[in-house]
Amino acid sequence: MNFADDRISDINMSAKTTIMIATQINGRIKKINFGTSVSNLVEVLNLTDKKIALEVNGEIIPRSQFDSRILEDGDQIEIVTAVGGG
Amino acid sequence: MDILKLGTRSFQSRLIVGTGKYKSFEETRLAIKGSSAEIVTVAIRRTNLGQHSKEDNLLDFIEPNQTTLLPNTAGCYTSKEAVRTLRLARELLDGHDLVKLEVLGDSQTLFPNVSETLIAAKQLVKDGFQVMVYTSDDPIVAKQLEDLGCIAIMPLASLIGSGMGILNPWNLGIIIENALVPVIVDAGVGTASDAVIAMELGCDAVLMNTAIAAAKDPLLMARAMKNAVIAGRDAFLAGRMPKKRYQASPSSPASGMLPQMQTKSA
Repeated sequence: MNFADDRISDINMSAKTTIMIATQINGRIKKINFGTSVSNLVEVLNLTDKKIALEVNGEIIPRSQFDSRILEDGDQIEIVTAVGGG
Repeated sequence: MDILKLGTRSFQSRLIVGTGKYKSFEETRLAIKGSSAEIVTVAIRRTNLGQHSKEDNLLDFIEPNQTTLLPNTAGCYTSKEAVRTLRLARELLDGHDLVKLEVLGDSQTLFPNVSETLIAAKQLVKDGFQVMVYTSDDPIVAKQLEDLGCIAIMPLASLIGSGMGILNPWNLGIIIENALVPVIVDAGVGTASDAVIAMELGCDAVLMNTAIAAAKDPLLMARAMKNAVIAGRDAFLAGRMPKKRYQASPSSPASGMLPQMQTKSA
């Protein structure tokens, strides 16, 4: 799965559904399949085993709710990690 | 044993280091190791997505069992941003509640916005965080932050990343005298003597990042800082000799001296 930095790109999760919704992830518009859960998204982004925290529309989603939280059209998602700093 | 108590935690090292500005994660790891710091600060930022998502991760280079992470709120200019950042940090670190609060006033000086800092501190303490708070060297604000329940007060010695050292030891001394929680100099340390001075003044610890990362030989400076903090702390605990301004005091005995010789012409 490659993301083009300067264009809108699609995440094609499954061949079964063709309905796409638009979300913003870390400030970039991404189209994802209708019915994608936070878990699905994290997996596709290769972040499953990484230490991250995630917000949907300003609300922190605990890891325990990654499977059950289904993303919706227009959701603004922020995914953060720890980096070097003083 | 001279233990540093921060909230519910205890530490042997009184040197806290940052993880920013290093040339590589490996250099970061070696610098932390050389410093013997047990607490390291990290920042919270958006993850890289897409093709960058397979890059190395800072946390993979920090020994998890020997190191306590201290997430900061670098880049936050409002109390809301700071609170949001630390809530995310706590989630990211599986409930870890020891945090560094900093709310900046302007991007040029990175001086703290103390009114926003006070608001954020109040909310974070209410949320159950153990807050170590970056602040100015204003003794009144320092006391207010302590009264709100912060577990450590961290006044700047000089501007973040400036390396200017302890510019106002007098204010720092007042804060230390009045504080009931640990006082940790955070910001402005440039070289080993700065760390020594801070510890001799009675600080409980020193936090630094640029002083090590921007040294010509960071790993050597890490060792220097480790030794400096120990030396300064030992000197403080040992109780220095008094200063005598106008009167010398010989160290060798006055009795039993050989008779003074008369000068003879050649």
